[in-house]
Amino acid sequence: MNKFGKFLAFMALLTVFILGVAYIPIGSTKNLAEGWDGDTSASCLVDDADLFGKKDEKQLNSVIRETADELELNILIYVAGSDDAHLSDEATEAKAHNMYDETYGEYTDGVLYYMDMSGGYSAYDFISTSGKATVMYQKDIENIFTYLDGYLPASGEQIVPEEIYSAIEAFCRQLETKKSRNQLYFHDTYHGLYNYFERGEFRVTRSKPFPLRALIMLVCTAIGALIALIVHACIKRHYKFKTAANPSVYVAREKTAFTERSDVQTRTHVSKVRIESSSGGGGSRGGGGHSFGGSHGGGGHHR
Amino acid sequence: MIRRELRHKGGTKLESIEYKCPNCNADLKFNPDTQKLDCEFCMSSFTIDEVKNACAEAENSIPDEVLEEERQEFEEHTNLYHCKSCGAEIMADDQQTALFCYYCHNPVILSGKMGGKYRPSKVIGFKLNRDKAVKLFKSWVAKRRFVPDDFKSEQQVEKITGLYVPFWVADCKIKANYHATGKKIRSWSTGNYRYTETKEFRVDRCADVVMQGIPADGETKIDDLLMESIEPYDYKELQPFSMSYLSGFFADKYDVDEAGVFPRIRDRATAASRKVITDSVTGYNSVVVMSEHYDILKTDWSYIMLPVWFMTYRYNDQIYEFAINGQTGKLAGTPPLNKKKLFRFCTILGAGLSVAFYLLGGAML
Repeated sequence: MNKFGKFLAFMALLTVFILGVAYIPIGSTKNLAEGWDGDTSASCLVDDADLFGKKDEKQLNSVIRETADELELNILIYVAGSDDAHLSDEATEAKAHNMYDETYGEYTDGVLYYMDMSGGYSAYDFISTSGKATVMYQKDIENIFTYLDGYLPASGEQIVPEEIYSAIEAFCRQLETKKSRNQLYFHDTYHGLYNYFERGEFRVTRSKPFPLRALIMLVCTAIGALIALIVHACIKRHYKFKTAANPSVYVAREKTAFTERSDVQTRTHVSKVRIESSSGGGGSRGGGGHSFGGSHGGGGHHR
Repeated sequence: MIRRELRHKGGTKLESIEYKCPNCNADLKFNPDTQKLDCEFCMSSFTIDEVKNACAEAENSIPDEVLEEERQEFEEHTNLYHCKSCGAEIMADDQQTALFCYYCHNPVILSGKMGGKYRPSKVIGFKLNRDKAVKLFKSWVAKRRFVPDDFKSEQQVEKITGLYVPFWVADCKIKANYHATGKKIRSWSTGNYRYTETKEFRVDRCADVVMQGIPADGETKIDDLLMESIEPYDYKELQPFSMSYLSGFFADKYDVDEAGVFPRIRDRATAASRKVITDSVTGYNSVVVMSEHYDILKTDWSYIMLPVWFMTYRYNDQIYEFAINGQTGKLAGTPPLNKKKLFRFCTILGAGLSVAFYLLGGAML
């Protein structure tokens, strides 16, 4: 085998090694995903702002359930009223996540759209995703909000129920058009969970998805190779010839004599530099947070 | 050394004097510009008085008749063996027969008697026996995991040969001249200012450095650095040469004379003299050398044999030499590296570390 052949064989072995090791899961492989129970009737509109009459609400529920059936997701659209005007962005997010979990259960597949119609400033909408919806919509949430900005009033503007009605219809359409499985995984950093599809099955586990594991293994292999190279170089150095003895041992000190040995000061120079003073910065402060149960994705948007 | 000759030129009898270099014994030539005698071979330079003094000391030596007798005895009782493979010439006393070359381990053939000029004046006998040499070698090689397996084998250990290596030993007188600028720097702060005081000194050093017993092996086949690495020998144990020292050992025949080894001697003498000077220049933050000269004024030579346990190992078309000082047990050599073994080890290490990092580090990410 020539050198190129050997190199190819080595690279092939290295690839097999990296992929082989990457098959070893990191963390618990227990799948927490609860999926979708097929109950479309659970998907609905909750109108706390009292914007819609019964007829509109029924029509919107119908649109929502059709979408839920099509996407096999729970869909809850919550129109927040004036009671929620005082909520901060973080509290809004936590409320959306908790409301979803309380309605459908943790780790189920679904979306909750929190529409801030409280009249507070500034209006903060939030989409909470759960289960496979985290992977399907995470990268498009900002695009969905941008699209919906065309229907929804800006903060402080008058809320027109017809516009909100259209916005909800548009949201359902967006869910259908933006669905995607291109995102490899979603990492819920709050709970340390990974949401991803593997061999057609949706998984919510503490174990990283295979592509991420392969990437980590690649980096670990690079670090391992670097250390191995350093060790190689160190060992190789031990196999080099150690240099010769110091010839100073042959100096006859008692017969060696200095005939001149003088150190005469010739010049003195003093330089002066102003000391620049500097001051340190202040400390940092951390903040508190809200907690929620199941693994959620999502994103918020100020109007 | 001064040699007088009588020549006839146009019927006139002329007396000419040839001066020999006290360092390397090459012819000296008078340089009208410096009014000194220059050696073109070793680049030394002497005044006529210096050469005359050197010759006067050389005349006070052993009578020629005694030397001649010793040389004849040496010729009669030594056999010279020649290795057709690597060209090595091995000397043994007439009581033993050399069968294999100490260097390449090929068979050697008897090629004649040793010339009397190869008789050394002095010798240090082996103090380290073969068992101790083998033990030293084994403990040295045990620390090196990546040598080829057969390097540690008994068959290889058998190749360790007790060898008297021919050495030229030089005693040198060196005139050292050194001029430099030294700087002492101190800093302090007062108020909002930092002050730096720099004191400059003219540093002058002149010394007569005497070096005794600088050895240089007279054998081209053995690596010079290897022989320097097993130094020093304790010259207090030098004894007048006797054939009895050769019994059970072999000796190498020199193929480089004093002039040939002089450049090595000069380099070592210069390095040691520089060290003597620079050791005396202390207390400075920085020293810039303006000029330094180390002139060897005189070199006295002696030809001796020193004991070495020697072994070679051929691996990947390269010869690895290994030597142990037969007097002190100091050892040196280049261990052969089995690159495949090392590569295998590093691959396993790298793979093991990668998996460990993956399992431990991956969980923390």
